[in-house]
Amino acid sequence: MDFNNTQAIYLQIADYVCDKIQLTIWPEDEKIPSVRELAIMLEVNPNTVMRSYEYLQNQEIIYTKRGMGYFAQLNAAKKILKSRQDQFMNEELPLLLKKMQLLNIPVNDLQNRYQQFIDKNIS
Amino acid sequence: MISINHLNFGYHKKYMVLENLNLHIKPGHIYGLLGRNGAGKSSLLHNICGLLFPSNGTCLVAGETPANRKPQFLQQVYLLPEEIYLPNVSIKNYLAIYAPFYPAFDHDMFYRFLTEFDIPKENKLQNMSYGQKKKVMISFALATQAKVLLMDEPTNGLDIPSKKQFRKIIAGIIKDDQLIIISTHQVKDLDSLIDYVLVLEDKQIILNQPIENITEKLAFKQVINLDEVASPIYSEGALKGYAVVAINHKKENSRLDMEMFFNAVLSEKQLVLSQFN
Amino acid sequence: MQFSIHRIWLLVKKQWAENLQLYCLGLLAVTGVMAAVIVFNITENEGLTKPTQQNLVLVGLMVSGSIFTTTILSQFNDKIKGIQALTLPASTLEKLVVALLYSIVVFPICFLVLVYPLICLGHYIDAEMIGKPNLLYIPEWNKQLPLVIFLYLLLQGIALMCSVLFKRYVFIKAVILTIAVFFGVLILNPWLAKKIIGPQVPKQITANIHETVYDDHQNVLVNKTVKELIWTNLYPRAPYADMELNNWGIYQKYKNIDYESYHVVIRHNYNALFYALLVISVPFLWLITWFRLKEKEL
Repeated sequence: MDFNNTQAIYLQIADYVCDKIQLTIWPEDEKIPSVRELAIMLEVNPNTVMRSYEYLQNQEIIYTKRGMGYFAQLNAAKKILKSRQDQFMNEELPLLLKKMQLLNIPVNDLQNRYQQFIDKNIS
Repeated sequence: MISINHLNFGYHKKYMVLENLNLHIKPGHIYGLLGRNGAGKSSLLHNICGLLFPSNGTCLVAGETPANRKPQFLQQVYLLPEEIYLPNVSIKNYLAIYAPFYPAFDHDMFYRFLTEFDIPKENKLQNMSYGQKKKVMISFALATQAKVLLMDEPTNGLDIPSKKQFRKIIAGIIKDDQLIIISTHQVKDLDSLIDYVLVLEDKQIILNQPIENITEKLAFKQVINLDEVASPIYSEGALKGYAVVAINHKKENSRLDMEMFFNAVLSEKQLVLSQFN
Repeated sequence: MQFSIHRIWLLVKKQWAENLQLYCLGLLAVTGVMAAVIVFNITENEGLTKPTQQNLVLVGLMVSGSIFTTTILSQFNDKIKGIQALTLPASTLEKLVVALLYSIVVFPICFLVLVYPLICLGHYIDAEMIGKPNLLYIPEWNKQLPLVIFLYLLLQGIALMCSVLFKRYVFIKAVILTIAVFFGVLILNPWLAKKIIGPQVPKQITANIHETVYDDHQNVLVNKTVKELIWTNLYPRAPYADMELNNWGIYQKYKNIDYESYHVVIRHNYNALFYALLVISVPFLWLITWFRLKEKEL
């Protein structure tokens, strides 16, 4: 995995785990890779992965079973989707809107483009 | 695990390489030892493993004084030097000669690392390239399962795939009772592995901080204009705008850029260090 | 103080495995040189005499042994090899013991196993094929052997100590040091003896003189002990002065009779002290080596 240069690595790892859960590559209520496995996979310090897992635990996306490792929460995918939607609306959208205003692009244009994009992906 | 108090060390009485150095570190972490050329990184590592003796002060490693060089101590503290010497024998014979000196040596682990590094087991050591030798020695060092592993520029001479393998292996090997110190110039190779940063400057360890502390106090950013950042400490011109190290007022979770951080420490020493006191 | 037989064995194996090529070549070279010297001696008038054979074995052993010994601990002097040598988990004592084993057990055995058959072969050519009346030298326990062994230990002790004392030109420096010490003792000895014993006036004593007279066929004609009043010339005898490998007799003609007489050594009590010092010097050299090795830094 290539990390970007801006965000803390432990958050990028948390994001990576969320991706996997949201796309159900790691199904809900099932075991996810151990700290060490993920550290090897991503070539990072196990302590960093540990920090990501603690962070995700606080977000109630994963949980531990004593002696068995980490598991994805039931409804984790839904929760992730919700929080990512929030994040988009609150952080990324304002930037987009600001740029649209700057470049004088009407909202309607965007709607058409979005419809075209959806149609193309379905066909 | 390592406890150094007021250590002085010099090759000559008049000129000290390390002076009044203090360092206390605990197991379970990978320490990155950063410093300029000739700052004394190797001297410090050699003091820790008993190759050099402090002229003053105390050094305790795993409860022992390294200078005594007791066998039990040497079994627990392994130094992988920058330049390595390998006798003219096959890998198998090398193992037969040296592995029995380390009671905890894990043969399976050694051969697994060799496979991961893509080194044929039958090779004679003298016919190998520098990088290959280095990989054999890295595998050996890790397979000794020493509690304190000191690595002096381990990625020197390694090609890009090998560096990747090296990171994977180290990520998988560190145990809670183990301690790894990696001295390096090539920060970029290893910055995702290191979780504590040690900076050796002015003959002392001037900084010993976990990554999370550093990113809590400092923010690392790319900006177009320097005015965008409140209280910048250090900046470098990049292709588009600037890379900046600033005081982290807004509690941002930025990624530590170790190279930038090191440069910031060297050029704005007082300002950076004051953040951590 | 850590000492483990297991680690000693590991170190012995390590030394052997790492230097096998070098040691084989070295032994081959020694054998070659010895063969050349033997051939040279066979071509000489007297051929390969028994004393020559003995000297070849002893001097050869001393010289090649010393050269070999200076190399055993050489890795400690190398910046890169030294890291490995110093951090190898074994105590200084164990590392030193292994060096001593190689220098005073392994090497002499290898040397004798290779060189003695060569001497036998040389003797066979010399005596049986060419027909010179020489006898074969057979190493045996005699009065000189302890002295030979002691001398060997002393030389090896010096060589080993020099190999950790000096970084470069170890053998040459070892030779210079040995010669310096040798002449130092040679000069200091009589001076010490004079100081301790003091000059003596010649005096007359009654001595038991043992006379054996032979005829031409080595048959004993007269064998008697007489008490005679003789003049003795007492010189202060320097310590170590009677340490000769070959104690030659003195032949003299007196009243047309050939006499073989030996000089008489009257030992002073102080002499024992000097011998004790000499014997102690070997473990002392080992102790210095141990200490240097222990204090060795990169």
